[in-house]
Amino acid sequence: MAEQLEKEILAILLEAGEENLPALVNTVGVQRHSPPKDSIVAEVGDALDDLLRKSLIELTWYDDGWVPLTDEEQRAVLPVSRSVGWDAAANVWTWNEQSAAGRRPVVVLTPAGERQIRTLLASDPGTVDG
Amino acid sequence: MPVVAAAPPVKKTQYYNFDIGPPDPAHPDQIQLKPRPVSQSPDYVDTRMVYLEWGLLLGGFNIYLDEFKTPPIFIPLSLVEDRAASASAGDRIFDTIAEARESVAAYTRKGDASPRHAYYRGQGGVIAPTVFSVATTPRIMATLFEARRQFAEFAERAMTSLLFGAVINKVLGLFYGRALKSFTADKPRDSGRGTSSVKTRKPAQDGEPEQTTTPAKNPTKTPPPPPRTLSNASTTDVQNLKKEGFVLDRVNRDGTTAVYRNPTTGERATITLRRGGPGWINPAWGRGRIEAELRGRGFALGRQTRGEGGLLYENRTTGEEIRIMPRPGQQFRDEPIEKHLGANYYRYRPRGDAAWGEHTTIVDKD
Repeated sequence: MAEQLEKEILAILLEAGEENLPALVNTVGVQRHSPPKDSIVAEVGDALDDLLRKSLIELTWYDDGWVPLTDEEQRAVLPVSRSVGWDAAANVWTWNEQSAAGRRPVVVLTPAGERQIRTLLASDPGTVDG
Repeated sequence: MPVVAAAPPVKKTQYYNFDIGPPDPAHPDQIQLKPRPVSQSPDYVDTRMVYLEWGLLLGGFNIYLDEFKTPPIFIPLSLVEDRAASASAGDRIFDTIAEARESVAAYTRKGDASPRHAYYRGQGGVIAPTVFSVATTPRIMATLFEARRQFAEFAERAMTSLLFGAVINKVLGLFYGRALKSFTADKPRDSGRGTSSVKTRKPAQDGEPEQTTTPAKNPTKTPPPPPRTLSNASTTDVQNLKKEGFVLDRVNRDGTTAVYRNPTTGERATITLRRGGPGWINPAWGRGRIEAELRGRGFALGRQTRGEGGLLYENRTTGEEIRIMPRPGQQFRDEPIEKHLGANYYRYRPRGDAAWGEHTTIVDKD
């Protein structure tokens, strides 16, 4: 299950090489068709931790260029459950304004992550044009 | 040297063909010209056909006069009749099909109910009859029948009752399998097989234009297979279509549907495309128009995406975002097909932390 979610996250990131953290949580939620909200955040948080450990993704800021979060900044925004809150009106997870001064970190795919997800997707049975 | 012509004087817009006849012993100093039936003219479409292309979706068939160096002549099915015999309204060759038809209509008005045709000079100087039938264009019709027979041999689908048979790609495997070289040489061939039996008698040498044939068995018109419709299609769905022989025909210029067709069976599959909003983007717009509209509505180019060469437009006032991406170089299973139908696609979200909306194909504009 965790591996499947990690693959899912890498596949989401493959499209443009990036996604901001709350949008990534919301995307997984949309793709999983309304699972329990809180469990999604926890699962995505665990998957991100694992992907970060494997250096398949990186947390960055975009400020006229891509700047990796320092360890301290990373500790401030993770686990992700601390940094997002449920907006019932908009039906989305939103970034807490007090977390990282409201700046949304962007999860980016590392070259190793891109290689891995392309390999995984291409080896799927019935792959169209791997 | 004087020329003796038996034909009436040539008027404007009238053309006649002549053959040089045997010398007349009574007039050894004269060349004898005999009017030649139009159907035996080297410019006659039935003579000049080299390849024939037929498909249910064409609504007719294409005739190639050479090795695909020049565009084909399209013959709509409305010009085709199941007519075993047809008399010419004369050997006059008209400039337009309307004039030719009028000459046939003149017979009808006089109470002559027999099937008739007339000739006109059409595209590329080719002489064509007003009606294509086994009586007027036996080579063409025989090729159509043969195409059907050959198709029936390799296709298990019940296409055998189609009026003009089908196609071709297994037969020659050339030109994407869409064209069938005329298998008849200088004369129509009697294949001797059921409905493709076509026998012709050459017109009499004295210019008698009427042609008779042994008719092919009356085929029954069968409509093409009903079109399939799909929505929310994925690359896997399209891959399955391709395995069945479908190819992408087009993304309609209104941007709402993509059409796949099977050149072998004529079957069509129409895919209703996803649209991810915003509602004010017209699906018929190309990329240039979309970007111009974005700028006009308060969006600014934020930056390039981290990967894949996309552009991120942001509206700082509303928080909306639009990401325009080029078509990916790879296709994986279960992806939205909209990513792969045009050179670009886009996704929209009303706020930066929301999930992106549906993948939306941007119509390619010339």
